[in-house]
Amino acid sequence: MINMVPCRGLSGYGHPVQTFRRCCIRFEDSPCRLPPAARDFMHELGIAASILESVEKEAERHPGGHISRVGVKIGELSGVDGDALQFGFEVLVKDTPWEPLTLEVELVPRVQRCSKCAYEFRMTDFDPRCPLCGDFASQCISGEELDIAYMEVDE
Amino acid sequence: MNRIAVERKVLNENQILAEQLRERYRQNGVLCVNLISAPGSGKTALLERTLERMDNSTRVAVLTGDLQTENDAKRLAKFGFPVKQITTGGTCHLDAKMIERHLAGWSLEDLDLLIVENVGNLVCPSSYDLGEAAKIVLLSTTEGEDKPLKYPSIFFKSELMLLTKIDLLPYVPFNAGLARENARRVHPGMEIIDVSSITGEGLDRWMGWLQARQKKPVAADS
Repeated sequence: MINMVPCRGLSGYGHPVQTFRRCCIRFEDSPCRLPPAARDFMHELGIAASILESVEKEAERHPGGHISRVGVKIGELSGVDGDALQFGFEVLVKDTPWEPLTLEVELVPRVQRCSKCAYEFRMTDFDPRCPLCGDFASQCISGEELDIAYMEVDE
Repeated sequence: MNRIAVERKVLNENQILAEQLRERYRQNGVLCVNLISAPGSGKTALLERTLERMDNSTRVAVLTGDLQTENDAKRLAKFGFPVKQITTGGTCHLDAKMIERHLAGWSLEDLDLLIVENVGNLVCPSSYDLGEAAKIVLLSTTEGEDKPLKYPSIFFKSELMLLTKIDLLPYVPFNAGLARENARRVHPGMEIIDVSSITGEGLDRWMGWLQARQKKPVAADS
C-alpha cells in the first residue's frame, strides 16, 4: 500500500507538519504544488483529503482491485461547495497513483417535512411555509449530508 | 466493475472522535458549547465578560482556537479559570482531534462547563463536530443583516444566536429585526439573545441560558 505522508513541500512555509495532514496529503515523492493559500484556507481541500483517506482505507480491503470512482452526497446545508470540492479532489489525485480516480458529487437539496400535514417539500429561498397547508412549522429531513455514498472497484 | 455502497460520513474519523468526546462529557456531566462566528464578532470579549461574572467556585474551562498567537488565552487566563490556546497554524477550524489533544491534563470530573471558542470563520467550523452539546453562533451589529442567508449552514446548526455589540445599534445602519428574521428563516424557532460586552446588556440572559442548558440532558446527537 502506498504510504500517505504530510506534504514535505510545506516545511519551508514555517508551519508544523501535523497541521497539514488533513489539508495537504500527498504521496511521498510528489511535492505539493498548491499555492500556500489554497493549502491552508480552502475548506473543500480538507474535505477532499478526507475523501481520499476513505478511498485508501477501502482500497486496503480490495487487494488487487483498483478504485476508479467515488460518489459523495453534499447537502445544501453542509457548507461545502461542490465545484470547489471537485477542483480540490482533482488537484489531490493529479500525478499520483490514484489518477484517474474520479469524484462524483451529488448535490442534495434541503427538504422539509411539514409538522402539521407531513407533506415533504423542497425548501427554496428559506421559505419554511408548507406549500400544501401553509403551516410554518416544518422539520429538515435532508440537506445536511456530507457523506460518501459509494465507490467503484475494478477487480 | 463493482459498485460498493459505502454510506460513511466524509468526516468519519472526526465524527467518531467527536462521539467519544460527547460520551466523555455526558459521563462527567460536562456541558460543552462551541462558539462560532466571523472574525471580530466579539467571541473573546463575550468570554471575558462571561468568565468575569462567574464566581471562583465555578467549574469552567475554555479552549480557544486561532490560527496564530496565544493572545486570546492570555486575555482569558486573567480570570483564574483553566484556559488553553489551540493554535491551528493555518487550519481554518478546530476539529475533534485538536480538542481531544488539548483536553489532556484536565480532568473532566472537575468541570461542569467547557467553552470552546472556535477559529473565527463561519464556513469550515460548521462541518466539524467537536462533541459539543450545542453550537452557538455570534452575529455582530457591524456585520450585514443577511449573514444568516449567506452562511446558512452554521445558522441552521446552531442552537442559539447571540446578537453582539448591540450598544452600537444607534450608530450603525444595522436592522436588528431583519437580522433576527433572516436567522429564523434559515433556522425557524432559533433562540436569539441580544448582548453587549461593553454595557453588559443581555449578559444576564446569556448567563441564564448557560445555566439552564447545563441542566438539560446532553442529546445523543448534537
